[in-house]
Amino acid sequence: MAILDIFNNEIVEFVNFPNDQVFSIEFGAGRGCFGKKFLPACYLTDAVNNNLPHFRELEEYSENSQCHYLDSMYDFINSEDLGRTFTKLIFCNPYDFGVGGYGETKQFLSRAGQLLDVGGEILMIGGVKNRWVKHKNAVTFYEELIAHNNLSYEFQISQPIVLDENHEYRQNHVFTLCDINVEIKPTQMYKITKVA
Amino acid sequence: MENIILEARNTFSDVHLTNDYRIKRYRNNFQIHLNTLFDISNVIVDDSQAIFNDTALILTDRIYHQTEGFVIESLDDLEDESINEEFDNLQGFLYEKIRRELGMYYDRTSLELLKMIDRTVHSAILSVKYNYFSKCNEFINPWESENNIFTDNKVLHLFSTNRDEVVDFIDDDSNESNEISDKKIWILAKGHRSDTTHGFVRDLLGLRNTILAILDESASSYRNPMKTEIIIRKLRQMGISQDEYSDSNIKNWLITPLKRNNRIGSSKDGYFMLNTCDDIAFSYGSHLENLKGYFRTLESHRRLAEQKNCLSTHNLNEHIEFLLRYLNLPS
Repeated sequence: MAILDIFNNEIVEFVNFPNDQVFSIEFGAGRGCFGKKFLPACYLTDAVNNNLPHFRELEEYSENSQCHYLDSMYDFINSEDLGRTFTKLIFCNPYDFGVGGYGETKQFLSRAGQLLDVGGEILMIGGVKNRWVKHKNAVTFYEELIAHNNLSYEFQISQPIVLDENHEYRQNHVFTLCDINVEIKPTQMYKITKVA
Repeated sequence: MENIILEARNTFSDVHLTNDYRIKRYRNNFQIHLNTLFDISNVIVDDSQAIFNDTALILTDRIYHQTEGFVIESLDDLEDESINEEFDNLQGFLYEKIRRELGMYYDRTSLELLKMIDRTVHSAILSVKYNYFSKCNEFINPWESENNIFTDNKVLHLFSTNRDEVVDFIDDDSNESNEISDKKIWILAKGHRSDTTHGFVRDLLGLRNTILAILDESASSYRNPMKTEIIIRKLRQMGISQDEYSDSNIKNWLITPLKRNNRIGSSKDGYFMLNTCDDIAFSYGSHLENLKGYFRTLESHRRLAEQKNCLSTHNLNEHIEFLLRYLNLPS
């Protein structure tokens, strides 16, 4: 059964990455399609595709299909600049990049700052035990970076929202750690807005 | 429990980074960290999901971080806000301590250095926090050995499976076979000096798969088992030196986990692949004979203890209790 977005339309592939009229982008999307379901005009990207077929290559597909929904292979940290900016960057359960530490946060926010419009926002979704997305880490390390004058952009970090099992994201989406094939349940969500 | 955090703070306070890069014990500590982390993940992951049994699996940074995250999210059940806050304070203390300790070598513009500090602090905090997890006694604390890189080896560290990430810092000119050369985890370390040092450990998941490939080629069934010495000799021929992994390291870290996880069978004549029902039955028969032998010895010890009236002071029924527990029978 095809996957529908929040407006009940079938999710779509954007073929002219990064030049479509698409202003949201998800990084490290793995084999999930969160951004296309909930935003839904959203690019899905990841550094690798784990040798899975693209969903458009299958005759039929469903959320259980062994496929990916990526519009492009793109490594958030290491790939070349895209030459454009976005209004929304999405990170679902990031591991290996994010607000894991002082240096990690500097790298993460510096890269996000390059890719975001002023007024654009980063959507962070994950577990409270995941240091790469933990709200308290984001606040602590961002404040330290600003105090040390060690970041080129200014951001504002919202309060976290609890994602319990009744939240639509948890109800209508299965989050997985795709490289190790394990389901994971995000428990928190917040936004980081680029102010300047 | 409160003393654990206080004691850790005192231990961290006493660390002074080394300026001597001659000894590379940090490699061994990181190898133990990897072994224990992946052993835990193998136990807690649902068998049906176990990607760790994939013979083509090569450890990448992504697999490492997802596995570590999965282990943390599975084990970390510490909800006490005041204790969590103490850990946040300890984290802040550690960052400051390390920056002070680096002194003139602290460069806030060096991303590699900042990420080395991040990894060092992360493992230090988890090595302590692990003691508060309700299942802490079920496994070996995987971050304790990693934290020893800071507290015992006196260096900060960072690692990557991606040679390109660390290529500016390493000189990899070894003559290794292709089977093992890409199965390395590079470690950068820094003490109280301007430069860094580096070393590597092997990807044990990858090396276990190398052993499976060796057995698949030459010991594909119980009819042609391969002795431990031959497996070790083949790994040595591929370029794994005695200094890197002793014979007992190879047995304990590579061969035994394969056996424990049902990947290979064994008999007194050696190891072989478990491809057919006959292979499984042969290995089973061999282990059954061992079990009977052990059981007879344990029983005769118990009877001797009975004769000497030792049973009131010494429990020599544990082998029976173990079997009853295992078979879920009333004791």
